[in-house]
Amino acid sequence: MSTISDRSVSDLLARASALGNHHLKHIFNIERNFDSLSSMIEKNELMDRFRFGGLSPNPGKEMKLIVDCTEERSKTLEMLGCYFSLQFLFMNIKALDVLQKDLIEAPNRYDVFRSFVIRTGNDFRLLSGAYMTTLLDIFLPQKKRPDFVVCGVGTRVDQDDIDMGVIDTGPKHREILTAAFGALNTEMLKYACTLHFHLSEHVGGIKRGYSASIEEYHLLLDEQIQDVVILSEMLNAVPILGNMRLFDRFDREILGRYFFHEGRDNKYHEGFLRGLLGEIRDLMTFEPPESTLNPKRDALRMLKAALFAQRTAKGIHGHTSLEVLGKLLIDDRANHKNYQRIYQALTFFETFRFLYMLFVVQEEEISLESDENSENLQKVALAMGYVDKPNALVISQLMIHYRDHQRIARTGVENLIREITRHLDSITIFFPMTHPKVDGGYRGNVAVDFLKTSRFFRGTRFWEDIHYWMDKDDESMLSRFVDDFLSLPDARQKALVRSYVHWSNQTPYPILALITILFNHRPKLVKTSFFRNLTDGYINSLDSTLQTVTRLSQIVNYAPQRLNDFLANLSEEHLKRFTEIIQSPLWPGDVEKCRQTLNSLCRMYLRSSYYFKRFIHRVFRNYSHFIGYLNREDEIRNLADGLYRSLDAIDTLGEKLDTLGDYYDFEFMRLGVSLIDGAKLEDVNREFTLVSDNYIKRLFDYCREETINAMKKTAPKTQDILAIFTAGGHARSQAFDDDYDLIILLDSDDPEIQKFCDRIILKMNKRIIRRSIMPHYRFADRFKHYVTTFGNIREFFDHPDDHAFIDKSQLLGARMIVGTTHFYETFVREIIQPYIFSQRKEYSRYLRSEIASRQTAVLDRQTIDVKESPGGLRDMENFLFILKAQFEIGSPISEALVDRLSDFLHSEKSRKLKALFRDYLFIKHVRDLYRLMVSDDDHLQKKYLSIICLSVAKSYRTDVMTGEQLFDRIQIILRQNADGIAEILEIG
Amino acid sequence: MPFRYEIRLSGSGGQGLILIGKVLAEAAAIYDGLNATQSQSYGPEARGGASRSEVIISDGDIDYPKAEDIDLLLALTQEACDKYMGDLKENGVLIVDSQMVTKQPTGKFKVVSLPIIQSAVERLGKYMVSNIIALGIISKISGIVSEDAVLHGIRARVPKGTEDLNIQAYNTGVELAQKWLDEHKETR
Repeated sequence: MSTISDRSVSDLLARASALGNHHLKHIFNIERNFDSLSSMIEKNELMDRFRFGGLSPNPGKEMKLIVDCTEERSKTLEMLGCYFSLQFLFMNIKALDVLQKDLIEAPNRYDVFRSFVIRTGNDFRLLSGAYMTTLLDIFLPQKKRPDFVVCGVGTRVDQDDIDMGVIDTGPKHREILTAAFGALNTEMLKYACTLHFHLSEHVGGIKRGYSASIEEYHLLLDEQIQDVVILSEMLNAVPILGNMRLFDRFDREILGRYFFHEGRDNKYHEGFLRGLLGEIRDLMTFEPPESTLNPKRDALRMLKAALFAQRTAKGIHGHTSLEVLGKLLIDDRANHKNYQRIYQALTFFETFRFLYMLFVVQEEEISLESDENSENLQKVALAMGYVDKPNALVISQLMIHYRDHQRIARTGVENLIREITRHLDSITIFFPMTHPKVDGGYRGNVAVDFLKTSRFFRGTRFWEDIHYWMDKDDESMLSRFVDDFLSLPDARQKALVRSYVHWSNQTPYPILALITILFNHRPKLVKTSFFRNLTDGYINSLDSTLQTVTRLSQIVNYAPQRLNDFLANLSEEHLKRFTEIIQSPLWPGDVEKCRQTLNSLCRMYLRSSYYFKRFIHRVFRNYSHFIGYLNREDEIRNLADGLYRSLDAIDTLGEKLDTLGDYYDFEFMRLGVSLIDGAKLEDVNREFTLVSDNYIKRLFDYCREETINAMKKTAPKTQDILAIFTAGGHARSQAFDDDYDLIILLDSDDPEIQKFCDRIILKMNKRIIRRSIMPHYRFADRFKHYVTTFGNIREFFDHPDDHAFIDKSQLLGARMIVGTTHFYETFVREIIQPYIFSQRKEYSRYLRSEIASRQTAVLDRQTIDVKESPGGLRDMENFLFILKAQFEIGSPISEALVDRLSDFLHSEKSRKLKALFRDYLFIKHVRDLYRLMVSDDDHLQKKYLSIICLSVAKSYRTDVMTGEQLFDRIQIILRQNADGIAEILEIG
Repeated sequence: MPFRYEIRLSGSGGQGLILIGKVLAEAAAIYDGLNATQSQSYGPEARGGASRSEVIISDGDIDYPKAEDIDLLLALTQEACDKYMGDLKENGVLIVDSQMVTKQPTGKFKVVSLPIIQSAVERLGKYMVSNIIALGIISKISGIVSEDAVLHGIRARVPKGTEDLNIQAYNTGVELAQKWLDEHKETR
């Protein structure tokens, strides 16, 4: 290196080597060309006109001197590049030094961050602007220069690239501009940073190039609102160099219309707001992963979008988000506190991002999992003024503050969104359609006019305001929409449906929401051709492109409830098609997680029977944000446990009862999924029984309490005189029964107590029905009360009819859920013993004759009734009742009971009994899977059995059978069971 | 007449295609003394989940930075492959990830199908460096930029502390490409 400021340059290079690796490019440039540059300056005696020891206040002037002393263009460019690199490094080092100094001196660090961001942005714009101006003077001499203006359209502080928009006067001179900007671009990449001309590229125009004319902007933007990213970039435009009058015209004709103007057509402004709100909604609903940071995604993008929305709504003519915020802080005093919040978050994240890029790498995503990055983040933390404390290292402090500011940003943006949405509501062009009864009623056709008006807004993604009015309880907009639609002739309806479907091409959500609103509010419409065409057209219009899959997957985040409603109501054919569309995996990342969740939800609905779907639908309707936990059984279990544990902390009985119902649904769904996924039947049964018993016990407690609260006098005591028994499947500790056989027994004939207990059960009944389970009260029809007294039973069994043996079986198989030991002993002593055990011969005779009557039944070739066929579930249960009565055992049917019974039989029969019970459980397992995956029906159809074969194989760890093989296997088992039962009972 | 070599790197967001575009362009322009431009997908396209980066390398002036007659296309997703293969010039090179692009197109171009992502995960334990493996393959197959320049470019674009891992990834890519070249000697 030469003698000019040798030392300052060496020091500079040494300090710059501690910065991110991307500074190597500048170090390389300086090391390669500095000697030539300094000799040239010395040779031309310009030493006193250059500031080599630091950041120059007038880099453009110094660059001009360089141009003046070199003749060969390549040399000039090299020297300019070297000068730029020098100044660039000085600029960044100075920025860090000033930041350190200010953080020590200034009382408010957010103010320091703000100054830092503004100063660094201005310094970079000054330097890069001077460099570009000098280069353009070389590549496009003034005398050849056509009219144009160059605008900066990106974030001023970004050093990674410069986003530019070049406005020209038309294609006539574009070639000259294109050649000049091409050369500028190449040079900037070598010595400074890449230039991006997205805006001009997007506007396109007649002739390719880096620039576009105002007329071309008109052509693109006049008839349809474009993507919000383009518009935001355009509205950021700040003229850097060129003809300012051209920019003024651009500002007047193009930019101005995106701002709100009282009393004028505001559709451009509305379109821009719809775009921004869609973008903010996507960002707000995204759950940031814990393993990465991304300041742009986590906060900056939403903060800036919200501020720019306010900027156009309030007519603020500031360029950077900090400028806009500064004006809002002064002008909008009502929201001052919220703007202060936004100020903290914005300055924190801007500073963090800038420093990370300065010290580490010019990438947005920061992985927290690599060791190198914690070292890198430490540098950022130190530069932001954090100091190690005994109990918190700088990096921990930074991470905590990062998450804190993320929350602050979200709160701030949430508040702003409310205000922006209110503003949108007040200015929307759709107002007459969303309020069709206002001003003497809407005179047009809402269905037609809505589409016509919304064409301009095609592609924008925020339509929640319209959905709100559609979904509203009074249904005024929905009714008008549907009526107007149906009033059209058939051909017009079809055409309109096609247009709606076409309109939704880039934004699948609005039509998905419309279909769901119609499902929910107008279920009868589902069978009409209008609805079929709409759903059919919509599903068929979806493709499996990355964009569509991404857009569909994002709905998981921002409208999970709507999505759940949509999928739950789709026909199997449509659901299959929808599922196929979302099969292609995206690159691992945020949206891929959503896609996987969506895929799991689709598949869960696809493989579920209508019966089981209702549970899934209900669970995710009430807890839609837990859809993401779909494949995480442990998480679902924790959530269900949490719901159960929270019951004691809930204040009102109504809420307790609601939460208890949700707990039941959650567990039903979890265990159903678990069984489908191949869990062992006995494990599922055990867990399910616990859940079901918890549910009934709590339900009884809460309903009792509610009944007592409603009574004006003291409630009667029922402790040893009332009990709730379950019969049927629940009594046998078997999961997924579609009904609840309940026996409510009262050991008292006091009509007041009976009335009180009836009221409790009536309340329980209402709640159980909400779970899509039909409660049956064994003796209610006979005695006209939910509650059956011992007196009722005695009277009945003393004068039995031919079906009394069925009621006896129910009592013999019943399991007490609520009640005391004392009650149970009384029940056995006064009912079971005298009416069943003491009459076992007669009781068994009835059961035996029922079993025998089925023996002659012929099995169907396509369908098996697993309950009523010979050797089916009913025979097996009756068979066990006979043995229970014979050996006077009162416990419900279970493996333990079978063990006890087998002790009474000789070894051959004992082995046989155990084998029969194993097969009984297998049939039961198959029936449960069929119920969850095919249909809630005991008649298993051969053609559908293949659906459950994989689950059967997983559970028994066997090869996967075909549906036919499983069908044959069941038939064999039934025959063997029928024979086995007959053999043990010695029938025939 | 100056040469112009057009490269399009395509796939989905998060695959690091923009980074390798920058590395390639800087390697050519700064360390190999060529001219280069780099452009990338943005806004609407990027928000839709797709990612695309283009690099044009020339020893003459580059008046327009958009790739229109592509010499080399890298496709890390099936969709990108389907979408862009039509822009590939005759005798061009299509490099695809064998796992992500299962339906390989045929035409008057060379298809280099290699396990890029799989190698990143299995050999280096990090799928994040798949892009750098792809860069190694591009560098070896095209020969458009010197190895030294690309290594400089990588060092100048990756975070401090991760240089060795990234260079290892680059070498893995070069190795995969070399193996492919050896296996296809006769058909080249």
